[in-house]
Amino acid sequence: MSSTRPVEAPDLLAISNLSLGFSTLDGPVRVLRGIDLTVRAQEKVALVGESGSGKSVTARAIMGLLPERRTMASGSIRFAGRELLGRPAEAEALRGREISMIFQDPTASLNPFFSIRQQFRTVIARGGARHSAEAAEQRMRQALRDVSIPDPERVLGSYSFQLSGGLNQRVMIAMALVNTPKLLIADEPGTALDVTVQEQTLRMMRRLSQQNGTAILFISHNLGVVRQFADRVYVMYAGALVEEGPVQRIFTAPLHPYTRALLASVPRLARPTIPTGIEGSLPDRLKPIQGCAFRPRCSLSISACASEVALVAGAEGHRAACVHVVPPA
Amino acid sequence: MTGPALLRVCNVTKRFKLAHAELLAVDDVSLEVQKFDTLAIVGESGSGKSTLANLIVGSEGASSGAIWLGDTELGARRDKATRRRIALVQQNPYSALNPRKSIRAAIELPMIVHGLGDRSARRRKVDELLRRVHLSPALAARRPLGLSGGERQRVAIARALATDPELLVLDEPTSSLDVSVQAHILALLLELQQELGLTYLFITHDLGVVRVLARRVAVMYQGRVVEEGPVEAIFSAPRHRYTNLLLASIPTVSDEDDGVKLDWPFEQAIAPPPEGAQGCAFRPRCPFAIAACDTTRPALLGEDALHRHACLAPSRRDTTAQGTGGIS
Amino acid sequence: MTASPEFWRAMRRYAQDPMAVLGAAIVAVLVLAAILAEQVAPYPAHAGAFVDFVNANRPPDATYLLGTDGIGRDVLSRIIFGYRTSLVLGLTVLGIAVPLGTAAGLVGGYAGGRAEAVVMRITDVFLALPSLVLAMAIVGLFRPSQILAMAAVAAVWWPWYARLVHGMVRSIRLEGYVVSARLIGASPVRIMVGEILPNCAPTILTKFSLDMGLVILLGASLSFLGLGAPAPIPDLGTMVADGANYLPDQWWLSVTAGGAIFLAVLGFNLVGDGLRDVFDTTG
Repeated sequence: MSSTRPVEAPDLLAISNLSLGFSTLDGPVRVLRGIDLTVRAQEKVALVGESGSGKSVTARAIMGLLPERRTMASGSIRFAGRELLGRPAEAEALRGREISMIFQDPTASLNPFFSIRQQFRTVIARGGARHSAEAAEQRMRQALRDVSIPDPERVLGSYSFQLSGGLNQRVMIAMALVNTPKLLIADEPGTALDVTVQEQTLRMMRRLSQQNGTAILFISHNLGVVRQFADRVYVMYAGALVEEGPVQRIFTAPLHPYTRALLASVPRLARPTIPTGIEGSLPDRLKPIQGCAFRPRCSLSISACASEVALVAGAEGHRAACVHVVPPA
Repeated sequence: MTGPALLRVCNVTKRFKLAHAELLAVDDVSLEVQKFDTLAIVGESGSGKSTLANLIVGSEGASSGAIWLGDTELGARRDKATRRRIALVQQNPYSALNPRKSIRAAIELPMIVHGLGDRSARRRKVDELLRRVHLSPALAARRPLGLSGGERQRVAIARALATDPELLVLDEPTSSLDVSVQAHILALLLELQQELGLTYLFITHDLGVVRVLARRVAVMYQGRVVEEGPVEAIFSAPRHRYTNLLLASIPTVSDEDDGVKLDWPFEQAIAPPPEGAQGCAFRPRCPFAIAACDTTRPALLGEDALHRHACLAPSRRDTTAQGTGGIS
Repeated sequence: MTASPEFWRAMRRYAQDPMAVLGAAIVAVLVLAAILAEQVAPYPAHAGAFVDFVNANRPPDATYLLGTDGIGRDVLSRIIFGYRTSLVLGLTVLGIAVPLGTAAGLVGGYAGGRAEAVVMRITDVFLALPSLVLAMAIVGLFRPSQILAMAAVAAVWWPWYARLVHGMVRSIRLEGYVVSARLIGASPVRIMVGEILPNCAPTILTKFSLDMGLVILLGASLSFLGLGAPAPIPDLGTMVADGANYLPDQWWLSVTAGGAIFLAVLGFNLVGDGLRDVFDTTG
């Protein structure tokens, strides 16, 4: 859309003008309000936001995991040119092959009734290519060694509840990448894990995706993790994108007041001062939003903020939905 | 150490009997918290920090050792006069408040249980507590439904203050909150400590938050305290390798913070300890282990009165030689 | 507290479901009719020992909307009074079973340990008794008495509430607010009644509504077997049984009484389902 964005690789995932609503007993709720998002091949893109921003629901929409009843969706989700929105069969065919997903809690994502080997076999079988039992076994062991599991034999024979959270997370990563998907969607990976384990699993994911050429859509509330992991960042607030740009720019020269406030909320190692935080709370989900959703909490809000604010392009593929952003001459 | 300690944990051990084994959740821990001070207990899952908090608030009893609040020993059974001196703020503000009771009823409960004041006095106190945590007293009639996580945590803090306690045990008070809300709760806790002269025991896994709130830090690993010292020393010159790993694992948001953070050889392979080794619990994850780490369980020793660590191969004191800074 | 915003939110959510609203309408009409039977029934005197052979066995018409029975009593009037009998039965049975079961479940679930084992094993013993057979045995052993029949049904009904409440208490007692209340020194009774019970109430209410239908049905079954209310008192189950003797000629006797039972059970079930959806926080 923006001519300033450097074209490196074709768009693998292209979401345009995605809006999503649910009808609840309390009335209709709009959870996404016109999302435009792209992930190019082999790119690591982060979608960052706080609770209620709509980041996880975006991931589920891509995977075709939203309940069809009570959901109203419009816009488009294209993966490698194929439309996925409103076509659960298309998404189903891609899941586990072209697109795979890692969830927040690895232990809850594995079935305690089946051994890791049984579940891993299912995953490999889903990859499509026919493998002999011997070849499948070899692939499983190699995949587990790739995630630094020194004794794949023991892990394959175990059940998820016998393994630590960190090991389960590695197993999940191995399973997610074994069919060399083109896109990996990671929804808050490692959030349920200890920080030291989280750090290691993120390094592993980064290394393996680079080796396999897998693009990653990384969904997180943790700005620090996003900074370490992503090439490009989208910031969400109340169901809409407020800013996008290269990771370095988002963290050193954020444009949107929300992004700035969010960064100022993170406790800093270098300075033992109290972070500032953001006053107020998210808008009521049952009420329609006019203009910039962040307006009631923004110290810079002016009357122009009450009308629709589009993403304005800044430098270096950096864009923000704020009336104060001045496009470069 | 200065002043009288308000809380003293003396050689406390807590064992849990499992089906086939015994779990040593807290292993011979001794700690002191001075009046008006904040001690952060930092550790990951399985470190024993939550069990230690449970022993202090009295939801469980220690297997051996003693805990003292001033001159009163804190067992699992304790009288009301002792109970009102300690309050707990829990991690999850969504579970901490009864969804079917009003905010007023929630904050009033400790006062009713302890027979503090008549109806109108309690009413005034609830209003006052709500103002203290920067909420409108008009909220008192409402139920928690519809309140944000931050507002709920403020109510939970107000409830904790209802009996005018001396010691507040803060069990991950901001871990379930969004980062933009966390900052406000931290500021509130600091403000309340100053105004009311509270003593805090702050249980957390997040070193970043510790820097803001605590004055002293005890790092726990597998039931033991592995390092304890003033917050500046822990951040600028950690001695135990596990503390170093914790610091290196914090995801930071600026180059400036990366400069403070120590390096850790994450990719370095670690030789497994010999079969049946009885040494340091951190040995299997430590790239800096020496031979003695396999055989000796290091004791928590003071290098000075304020800073103690339990490591046989500690980081050097001059951190500039250790940490190269930058993104690891 | 009834005027709280939560109450109105619950009402709004309930009103979204047309079937639930239909159920509530049915139940409201039945309950009102039963309470105001003397005013509502076209021939209140027909509820008692009334005989009018001139108008016996009349099929439904404008004077007798649902026809008359073998001794000339208006069927509609008897159905309206029959509802009173059924509702009294339901309320009595559940009025005993719900508090008893709830108390047992609360104590068992909160106390844990030996007390829990004792309470729940007693519950299991009662659950093993077949309700209809036990009720018949008790009634048969002594004499056909409605009071005894109700006591028998209540005796086999309370364990379901004990089970239900027990399960809820087991999870609710781990909630932060219960932990908090315990740590500040609140008594077990205060915690059970003040903190835990209010959170069980929606589920109990839902089951109560579903069970009203079931108890009415069970009561009708007992009456059908001749163990219902004594002779002149209108009883829907007895009416179906008596009418069955005159099928197919005087079809309206059984069909209308059976339909009346069906309507009551349906109404309470719809209300129960609606309540379940309203209280389901995931919706």
